[in-house]
Amino acid sequence: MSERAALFGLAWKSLAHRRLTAGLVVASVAMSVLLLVAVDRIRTETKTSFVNTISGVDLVVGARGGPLNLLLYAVFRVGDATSNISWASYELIAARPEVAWSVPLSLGDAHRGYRVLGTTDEYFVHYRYGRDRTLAFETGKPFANAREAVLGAEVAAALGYALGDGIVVSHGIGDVSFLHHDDAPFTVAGILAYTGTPVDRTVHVSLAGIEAMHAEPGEEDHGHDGDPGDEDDLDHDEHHDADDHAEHDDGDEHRDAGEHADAEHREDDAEHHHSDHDEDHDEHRDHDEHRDGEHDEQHDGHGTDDGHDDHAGDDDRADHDGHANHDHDEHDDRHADDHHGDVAERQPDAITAFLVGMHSRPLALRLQRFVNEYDSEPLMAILPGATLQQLWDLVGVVETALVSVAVLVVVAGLIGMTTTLLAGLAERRREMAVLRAVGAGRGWVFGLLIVEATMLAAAAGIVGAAAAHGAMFAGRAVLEDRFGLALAGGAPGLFDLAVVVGVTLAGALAAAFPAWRAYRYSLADGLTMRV
Amino acid sequence: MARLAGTTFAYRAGEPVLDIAELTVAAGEKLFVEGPSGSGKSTLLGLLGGILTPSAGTVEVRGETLSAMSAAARDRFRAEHVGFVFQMFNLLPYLSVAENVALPCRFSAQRAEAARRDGNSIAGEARRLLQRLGLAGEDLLARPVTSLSIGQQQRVAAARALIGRPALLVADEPTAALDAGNRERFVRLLMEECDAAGSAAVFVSHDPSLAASFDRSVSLPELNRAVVEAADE
Repeated sequence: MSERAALFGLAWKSLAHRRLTAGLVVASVAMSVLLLVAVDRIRTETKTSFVNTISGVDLVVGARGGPLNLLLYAVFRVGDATSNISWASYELIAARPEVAWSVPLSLGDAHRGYRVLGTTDEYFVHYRYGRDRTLAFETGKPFANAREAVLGAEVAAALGYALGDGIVVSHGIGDVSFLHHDDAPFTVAGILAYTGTPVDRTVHVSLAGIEAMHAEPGEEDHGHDGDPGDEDDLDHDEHHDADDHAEHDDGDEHRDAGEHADAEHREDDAEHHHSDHDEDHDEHRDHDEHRDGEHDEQHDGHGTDDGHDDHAGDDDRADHDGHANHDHDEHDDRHADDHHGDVAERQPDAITAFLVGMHSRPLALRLQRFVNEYDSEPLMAILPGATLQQLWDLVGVVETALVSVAVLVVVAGLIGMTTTLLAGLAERRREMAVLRAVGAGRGWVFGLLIVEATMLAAAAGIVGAAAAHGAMFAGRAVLEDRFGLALAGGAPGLFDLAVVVGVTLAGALAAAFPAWRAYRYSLADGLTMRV
Repeated sequence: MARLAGTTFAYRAGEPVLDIAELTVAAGEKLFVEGPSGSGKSTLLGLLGGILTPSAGTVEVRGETLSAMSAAARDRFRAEHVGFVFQMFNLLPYLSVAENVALPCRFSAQRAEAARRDGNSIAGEARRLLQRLGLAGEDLLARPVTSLSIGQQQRVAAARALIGRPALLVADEPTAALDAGNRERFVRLLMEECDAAGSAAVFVSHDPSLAASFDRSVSLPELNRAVVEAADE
């Protein structure tokens, strides 16, 4: 027993005696451990923040296509939708009993390089990111009408906007657009707190805002890439309608566009069509297919205005108007208590995608099947968590590479330690002989080197892990602001313990060779003093 | 106390470096073994300390047959009953003077117990032995051993070999690095302390002038029947 105590006592004193070398060994291995711990934490946090870019949403629905593409444009604001979803389809799906809530998303515009998202104020209620965190307002409040915008934290910071500032949205997503909706400026009503998600880089406006923007008279009617041809008519209707409520001055101007008759026409339709929803939907589907056909034409060029006019006959007009009224009814019902009447009253013809929350999560699969089999329009629903995971797996190679490099650095550190131990062995042969003479067994000599190396490795593991956490804690503000990584959030955990234990054991293993050499020496040298 | 009978040792089969018909050391006896380099003295010391096991014959110390023990048992036996003093580099550089002297007590409970009996504590006994060997002063006890002169280092080594009253002291040319005046004084001090501890001593040296301080003197080249050509050191 006292021999074992002597082992640890002497190992410690031996290390303390060679404190410079021991210190450097600890520093180099600790550095590698720091790297490993930091890389792992960054990896875990990155993955968590990535996979939770959007949470609390059970389904994301968009036009049929690649699930990753849908995720990219609907959540990350990267890329574009290949086609839109008709408002009617959205309404139909949103009205299903298993749906607790739904938030429409309309994309396709930009403000100085930042994507503009048209949505409802429910977006701010239902959007979740990270570990069930809701969007918080740094300042201000949700948009209350078609002329207000809510900025993501990064947009506000990068462009230096404050509450009340006016911003101009351009059509299309380029930084410099040939079309500025100068007539439809938005006022900054709110700025969101930092989230570390694409929300930070988004300008949020109401759906009505988007519609209003696109409904400007004159050249815009012909300049809408990919917009449904019939929208021209509807836009005017809607815009006009909304303006009656919101901005009478503007409304007068729009009336000059000669849509007064339409407004009356719609009121008539409201009475006639109100009772036959199904019929409306059927008609609407027909219209959608028709519109999809035209969609391509629109992409090819805008020289098809003549064709438009053919299609946009009275029948189409009637469908639209009827449908629009149907929307009104529903929407108004839902928002009866809401204070922002104007936002609720403009319905777009189509949206890009929508988010769905279910009453209970298992129902999501059922609705997903329903959406995927929905035959009036090619739609697709994805489970965002699963698809995010899929996307992460795609980019996860980098993660594996990073961790591999960090592990290799630790191995290099331990090899360095082994080298140092081996180099020191030659000058310790006399020490070994003295220890043998006073009664140390060969196993004890072997053990001395193992214990020394284990102490070094354990110290390095603890110092490295502590330094990593210290550094992450010290740099948490920068990491959160610049990279959206909540690294300091996690206290040292199981992984850190595993690293410390692992490095300690690896250190003991790495010392096996030098220790075996020492064992051999003490066998050959005996009590002889090799000088 | 110690007895070698028909003891041979060979590093390679058929090439014995040591072959002793009989060598006996009585309890408390001081034996001087005169032997130049290559006469097999390191092998003899290795056998007495239980580091080496004979190819044939027996090695007995304190009536126990070392040659029949396991390696671990021999290590334990050496810790309990044998003290070594070498030619030089006897001390561990990372231990203080006092810690070096007390080192055998870390490996032998028996010697630790004896040291406590002799000096009230292990540190006290270390201090007492150093004082007896002419190394007084508290400051010296805490000094790093590397700051001591070679003569001082050898006396520290002697104190270490004697702490806890081992049955046998084995010294291998402990005076080789000392000058003539110090050499005799060191041997005299060492023998006095052996007497005080009741330890037998086997003192190997190539210098026959030291033989006078011992009870008995033998010549290793005469004793060793092996034809030794190759140096074993």
